[in-house]
Amino acid sequence: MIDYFALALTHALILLALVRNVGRADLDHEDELDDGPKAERKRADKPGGARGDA
Amino acid sequence: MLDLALFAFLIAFVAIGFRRPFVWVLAYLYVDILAPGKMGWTLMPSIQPSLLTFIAAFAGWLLTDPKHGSRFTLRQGIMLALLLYCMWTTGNADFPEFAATKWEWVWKALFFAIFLPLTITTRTRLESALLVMVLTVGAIIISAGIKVVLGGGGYENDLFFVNDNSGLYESSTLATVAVCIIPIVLWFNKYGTVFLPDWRVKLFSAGLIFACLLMPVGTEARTGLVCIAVLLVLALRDVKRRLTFIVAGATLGLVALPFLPASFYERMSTLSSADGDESASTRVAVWEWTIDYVADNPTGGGFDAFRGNKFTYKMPVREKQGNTEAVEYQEVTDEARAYHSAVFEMLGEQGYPGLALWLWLHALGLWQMERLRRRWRKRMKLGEAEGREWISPLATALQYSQIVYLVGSLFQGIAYQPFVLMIVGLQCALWSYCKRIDSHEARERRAMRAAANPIPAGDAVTAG
Repeated sequence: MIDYFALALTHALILLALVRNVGRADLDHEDELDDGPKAERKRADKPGGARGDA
Repeated sequence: MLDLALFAFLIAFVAIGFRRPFVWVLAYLYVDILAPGKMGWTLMPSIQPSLLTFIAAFAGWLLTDPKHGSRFTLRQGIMLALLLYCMWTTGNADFPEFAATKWEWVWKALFFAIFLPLTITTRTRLESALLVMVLTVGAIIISAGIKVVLGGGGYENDLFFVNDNSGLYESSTLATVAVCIIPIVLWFNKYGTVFLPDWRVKLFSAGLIFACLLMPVGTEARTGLVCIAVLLVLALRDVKRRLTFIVAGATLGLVALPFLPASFYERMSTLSSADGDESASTRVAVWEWTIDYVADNPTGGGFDAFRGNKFTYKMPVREKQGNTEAVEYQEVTDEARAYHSAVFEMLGEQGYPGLALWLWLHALGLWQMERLRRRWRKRMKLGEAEGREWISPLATALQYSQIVYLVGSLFQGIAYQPFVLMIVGLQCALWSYCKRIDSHEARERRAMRAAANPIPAGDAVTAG
């Protein structure tokens, strides 16, 4: 009985956490950090690179 | 019934992963900690949940994850070197069959610890991994905690879902890991975003921490008591009113004393005197044997090399005759005694190179977490850490967990404990996440400087 209670409580919480997380956009990437591919970052890093493109 | 429920849960877990494949990484964490395959009887063992989630986690990351921000850190490199070295020693092991059995789970634990940081690229992922780890180990701890409160427990008594002394279902290991997670649970109480810290989170955390503190009592694992003491000393670094904390801690301890079972006192009293305890005597003898062994075999004897040991020592046996106590020294011969210490486990099995790698891995972790703690605390004071106030406390929590483990591991052969290797993996992830913040900010600064000092258009024309 005790085992079932502990398992039910924690498993319900894990499931709830998963459901909440799946809907979050920041699970896979954070907008604040420049998460673009390496090539893009390098281009942006080049002095005047972005302006040059423009 | 339990079999079916666990099976349905795992299926739900895997199904959710189809929407976000990162969930499969969490599924592996869950399966590796709880070992539901050992709890079921029919369905669960037949589907091999560990293998299933391992493949899903790796394939999901390889095929679908954007991998932006995945970085390979030095500590992952150390783990990779350790993994390859262990593979080599397994091939030349003193006891090839036993070594192969241990290698089967050690390589998985090390490989996953190397892989885990590559998948943890955002704060939410870091938090989710910690949450799943804490809740999963919480299932074992809560159940055992309630049994202790209701009068069960005791050394080598059945407290767990699986009573085969494997992984976290070994009482001393669980007692250590239970104390390890306390700092992380406290962090969730302040900085959690999946479950915002409200009264429900605080209530659950208080219950879980209480259950964690009961583990050394319930399992009568002496190491656990040492771990609690270490954690209390560490907490002194962060509490504002140290004297109040010490007085409150001492009072609570005194109030708890009458509630502890008599058998607990008896076992804990052996902490101070090693001579009357076979467990302690053999430990010292095994450690001496290990030092002699690596003098002849500096590269170690491969996994389970301890099976080759045999030694005779004198152990005092006390006999009570009326009011007098007679001490008689008896010769005891022991063989194939385990190391009972992660340091000697590494030394005996992997020799000096293996021990050096293991110590380097942990020392570097302590140093990196200390650096993050200080750096982000300073930034918080300067008001430069808006939205990132959680970093310094998390680095502290992960560091304290590691210290508690390292102290516990001095008396247990848990050098490759998968749960702790996951913590190491998360430390690597936090370190590399903070490095990304640094490079992002450096990029921003460069961009701002460039915007403030634009190249005059005329120069650009003449240059062209």
